[in-house]
Amino acid sequence: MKPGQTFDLTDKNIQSLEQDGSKIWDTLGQNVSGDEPEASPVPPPLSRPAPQSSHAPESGHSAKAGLKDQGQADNQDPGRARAQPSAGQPFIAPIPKGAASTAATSKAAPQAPSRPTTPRLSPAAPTNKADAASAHDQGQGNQGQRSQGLGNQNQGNGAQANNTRHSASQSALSHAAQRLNQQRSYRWLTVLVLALAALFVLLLLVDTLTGLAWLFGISRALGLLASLLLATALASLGILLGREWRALARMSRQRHLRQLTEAALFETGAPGANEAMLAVEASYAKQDETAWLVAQFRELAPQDAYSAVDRLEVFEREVLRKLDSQAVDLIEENARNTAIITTISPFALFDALFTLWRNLRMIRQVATVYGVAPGFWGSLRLLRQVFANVLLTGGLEAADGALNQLLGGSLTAKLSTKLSEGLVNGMLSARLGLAAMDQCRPLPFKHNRRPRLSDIGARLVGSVRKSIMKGKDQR
Amino acid sequence: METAPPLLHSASVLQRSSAGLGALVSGVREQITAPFAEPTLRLGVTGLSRSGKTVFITALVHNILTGRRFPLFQASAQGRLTAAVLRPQPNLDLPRFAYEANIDGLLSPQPLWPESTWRLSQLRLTISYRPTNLIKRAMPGPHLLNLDLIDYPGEWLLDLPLLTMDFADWSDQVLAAAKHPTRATYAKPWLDALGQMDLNTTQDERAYIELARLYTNYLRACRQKNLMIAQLQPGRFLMPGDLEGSPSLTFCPLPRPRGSLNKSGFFATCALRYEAYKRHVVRPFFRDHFSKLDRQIVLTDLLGAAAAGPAAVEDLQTALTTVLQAFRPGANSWLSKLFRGRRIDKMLFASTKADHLPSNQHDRLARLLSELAFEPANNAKFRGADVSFLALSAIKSTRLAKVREQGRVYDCITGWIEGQGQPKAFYPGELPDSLAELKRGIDAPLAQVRFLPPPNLDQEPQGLPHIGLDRSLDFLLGDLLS
Repeated sequence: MKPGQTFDLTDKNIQSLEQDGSKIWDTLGQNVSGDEPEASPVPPPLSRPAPQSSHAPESGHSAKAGLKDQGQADNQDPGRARAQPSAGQPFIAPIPKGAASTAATSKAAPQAPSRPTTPRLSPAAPTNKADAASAHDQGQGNQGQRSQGLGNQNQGNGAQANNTRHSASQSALSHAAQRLNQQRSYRWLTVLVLALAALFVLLLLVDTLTGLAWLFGISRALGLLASLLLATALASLGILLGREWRALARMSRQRHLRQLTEAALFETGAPGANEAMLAVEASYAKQDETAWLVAQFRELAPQDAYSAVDRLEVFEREVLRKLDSQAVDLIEENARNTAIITTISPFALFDALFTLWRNLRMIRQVATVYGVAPGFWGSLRLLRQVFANVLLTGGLEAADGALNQLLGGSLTAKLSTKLSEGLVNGMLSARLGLAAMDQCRPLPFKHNRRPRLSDIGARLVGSVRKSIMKGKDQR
Repeated sequence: METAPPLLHSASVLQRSSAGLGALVSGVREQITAPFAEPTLRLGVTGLSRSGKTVFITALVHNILTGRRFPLFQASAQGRLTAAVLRPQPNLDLPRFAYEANIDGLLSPQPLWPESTWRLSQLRLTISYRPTNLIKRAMPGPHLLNLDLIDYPGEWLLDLPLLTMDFADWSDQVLAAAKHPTRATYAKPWLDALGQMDLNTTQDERAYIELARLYTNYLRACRQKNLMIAQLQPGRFLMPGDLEGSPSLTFCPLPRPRGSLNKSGFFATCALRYEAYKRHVVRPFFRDHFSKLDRQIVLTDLLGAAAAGPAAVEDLQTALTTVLQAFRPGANSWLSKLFRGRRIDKMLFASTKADHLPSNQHDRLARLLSELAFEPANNAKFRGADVSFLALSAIKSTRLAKVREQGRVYDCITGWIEGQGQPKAFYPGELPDSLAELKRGIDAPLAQVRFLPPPNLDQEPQGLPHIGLDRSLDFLLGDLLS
């Protein structure tokens, strides 16, 4: 294509136009959609913009397909999530299968080839090919290091490799080598464990089957009942496992996004800012709680007027600010409850159990606010990370120190040990919550103020004192 | 006065010291009254012709008046801009900026860009805001900021370098440029007429008029071809304003006459008129409107120059550098305001018409501008002013589209191209990564088309679409609204 070339908008070539909820293009949209057959694989590019784009009935078909694929991607390999920026992005229509030469074996990455193949004018085509080729190579490399069993060579990784190719290619390769080495040394251990597990499952299966046969021998009805129960149990087990798996995939996608956004925000010119932004946007647009926020955000900072880094800034200010305040509220509430229960509970063991349970629950709630919604294993993993974070940053001492500061030495001495224990527990809980917040946030804190332990602590002391006083008064 | 602007170099010692004294007196007066007066910001919207000054001012005023929410303009994003009104302008002898006519034209069913500016005009926008600053908050409200905006024909800006040149030097420069092969064809009628004339004799007024006309035609041709834009001087020849036909606009550059100078000859008279032009046109324009600026936004049509070719890019760079020498950037403090007069403490370089490129190239456009304006920007930074660069489109007239051709996807823009009834998708090509590449010329030059503003702009849910307007406002006004 030559610069200066123009096309009619009714042209079949036109693949998609960005939508951001503005109205001026309605006339234009009518032009286009009027001329397009409805069964066309390319949805009307300029149909009336929908408030929550991905759920919109207009784009329903493609959006649903995208969602489904995303789900599958989650199940198969967290790494594939990298290709999702384009999949989840609702306003780019998928390329019809087989249309684009370079790519898209799966729908999950319809837009992936667009970047590598966009031609530069001054250097001619050969460099592009080289670029695309190198991107492709790296895509394979990354894929190889990340997943052994799931060798689904998704070409969409080309896009992701393209993102990271400039700055990260060297380090990525050496990391890959390291990881491969580690994996090799653990390989036989894995085989052993897998073999044992398989044996166990096999025995279990055989046992169950013989048991079933025995029951059928006694009575047909009993056998049927037992097989029905077995089937139900198996199905629910499958569903549970699937959920856990998806939750884990979601978490690792979030972590990956976080890496991308951090790079985009703190290293100028880092590649992948746009992909990161689109992925973040898409993942929040999918969730009912945040869809309206994202729709608002899209109107406020449309993609064709703001650069990716600017959009990240607006996203943090507009969308994450609300989520942050929700999370802080949650953390405060939990810290207060923990503090009060610890103060009034008579048994140390009960304290410990209660605190553990509350903290686990709080971490899950915080994660849910940010749309991560961890399953059981996910929560444990998050807890582990959070603890690591807290220990690494010396958070526990900080909690103590902050408490002393807040109360002043003499006041602490006057308070009963029980109350101060409760407050320490509450502060620990708050500290965990803040760490969880940091873990689950898709963007690092940059333009919003990071909530501080001392803020929460101050309110915690106040509210605990008030509730205990209130208790006294009532008595 | 080592920091004196070039215009003062040519002034006599007496003039210089009286100018200094005048600045001191007005500075003292300002300092004394400042705490009681409403804070006022004189924003200099600087740009050559067709760089989008009028659209920028119109869009700025409209967006602030309608209370639109800008995500990256902090005062607006935080909802601290309570209201804004247009108030009587401070200079009662200037025409008012035709804001209403401009915005009506843009929002009409057949929208049009504002017509090119032919004279000076002024507008005062007063913004009422809630400060975050504790000291300001302690003061009784309402907290107001007057924003004084001036629109003027960009052609006039190019006169500023004339202040440092006398007639003979300027003529030499213009004549040398006219002999350049790219311009020679346009200059030919004028140079031929010059050749037939004895410049040292007295001439009829008709000769002045004729030569001035031929010279003006040459300037017009150059402007149309985007050539030599740094030297389209005198600017009033192209945009005479209300001086059309006056003797101070009836001269042209001439080669130095041989032999002794005849005091009533053609050359000497033209030199006199040149000096009169400088004294009565250029200097007042500069003194009244540019020497007191607080902040400046420099609008540059880098894309237009790139489309016109490497020579136009060079010219643009020269023009920027020479024009900006006339301004006085630097950090302000109350003491420096008192003794040196006001300085421009923030300078924003904006590459306009960013909507002619898909959004993934905006960063590159800003980067190219930072290379193009390196010298003036560096000078401003050296003197303590804040400098920033961005890609700007005060009113975005296009949308992004992806067009697939032969298996490749191209980032295109769609919009109403001038002269075509239907909106079209348009592939603008890609900008090179560095200015050096741009100056070497790009294989396929970015084709330049003019997009019309889209219809129904006023029905946008979030206000007029734009690129980078909020960031500009945050940079230029943000600290004053804190």
